[in-house]
Amino acid sequence: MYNVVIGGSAGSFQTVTCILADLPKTFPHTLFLCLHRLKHIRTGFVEALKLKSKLPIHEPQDKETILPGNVYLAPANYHMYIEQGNTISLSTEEPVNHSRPSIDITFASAAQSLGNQCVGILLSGANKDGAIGLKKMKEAGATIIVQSPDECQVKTMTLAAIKTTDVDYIFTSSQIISYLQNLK
Amino acid sequence: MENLANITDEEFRRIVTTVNTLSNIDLTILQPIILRHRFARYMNKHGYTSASTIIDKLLIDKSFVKSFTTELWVHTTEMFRDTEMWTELDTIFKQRLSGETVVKIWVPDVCGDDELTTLLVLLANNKMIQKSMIYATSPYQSILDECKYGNIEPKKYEISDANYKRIYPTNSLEQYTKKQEKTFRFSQELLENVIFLKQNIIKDTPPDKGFNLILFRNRALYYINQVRKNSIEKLIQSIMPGGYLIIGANENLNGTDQDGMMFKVSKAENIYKKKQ
Repeated sequence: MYNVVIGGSAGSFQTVTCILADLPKTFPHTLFLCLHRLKHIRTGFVEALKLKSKLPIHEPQDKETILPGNVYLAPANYHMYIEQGNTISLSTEEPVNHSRPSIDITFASAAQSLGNQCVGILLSGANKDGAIGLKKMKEAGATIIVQSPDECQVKTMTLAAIKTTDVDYIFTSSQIISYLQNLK
Repeated sequence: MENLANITDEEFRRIVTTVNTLSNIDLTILQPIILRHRFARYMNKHGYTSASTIIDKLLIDKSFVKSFTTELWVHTTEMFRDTEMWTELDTIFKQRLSGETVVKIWVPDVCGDDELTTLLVLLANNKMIQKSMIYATSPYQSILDECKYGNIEPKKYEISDANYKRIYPTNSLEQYTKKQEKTFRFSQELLENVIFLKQNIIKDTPPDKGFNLILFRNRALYYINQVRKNSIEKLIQSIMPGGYLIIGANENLNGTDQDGMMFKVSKAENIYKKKQ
């Protein structure tokens, strides 16, 4: 069983929607989504992702137990940590890379708590959030995937990650979907 | 994010044990993954290259324990966070609490004064400051002193004022602040009915009983679950029948409220009322 942690910012929403639409109802792994979003708008985002997802998706409560086959979306204006002991911790600490939720925080916590039982995926985005976290995941033995910058609406984030870390794969969105569909 | 320092499990345990031995401060009550991040953040901010250096400094400099542990506490970062909740609280003040002779309020584990000053601005707008008795408590005197001073950095002021205008479009925090050389400072009249007390929510008894309102938003996030449960149970016992408890937007009362005393009064916000 794997934990798949996806980070994205500007231009990633469409890719995330495609990924969720193409994963089967029987997808056995847990998916964590850390996507930059407006901090004042608490509703609507998860509902929009639910439209095409076959998997149950929701914003976790603090200290919620992680269940396989579920999708957890970092709530607006909270950092989302993956805690040892299979729970999620939320935090209102200062923004990191001007972002709360910060992808670096979620990735780094996955590295700490999940080690190599993990896949980190970074999508389109306009700042450098995620690059350091992805590096930490790689050091912990996780598989690291970055969306092909050529395909990204905004490539700053993926280029920063590629520069910082020796990534395992640079994939288009359809290759990412195919990889996840075959993940065993 | 800066490339945060790596802390091994052994170093993590040693810091926790050393702090406990030297000061009796029990860091094991804090959520480990966040505490680890706070350690790493502290090291980056202050230029420590290894956790061992922190441990060495803890051992030779007693005053360092205090400043180190105080910084581990997570400060709030803006006023009027979750404007919808404050709008609902404004309605509760107008419709339910403004008629009370005295309104007793407790803000436990106050950290950074944003939550407290937001509350005070709301009370002032409802002309309820004079009838309110507000306890602001923290285990750290330095945090209380900071709150008493009522300082706000320009960047935070800007974000807070924008949040405030989402609730009161024609108002401005200027009404309650004075511009200092580099910062803004809240009017001391706002703070005159606040009782600042050094108090540990876990170990100490509550500062009073029969509260009309307890504001405990996003503070239990940083405690391990058992401590969260015990703290919230204690708060529930301190609220008067018909009084309110407010917790953060993504928190819940799971595992607390064994007697089923609290019920939710808002669809979207975590505002609970105690049964009469």
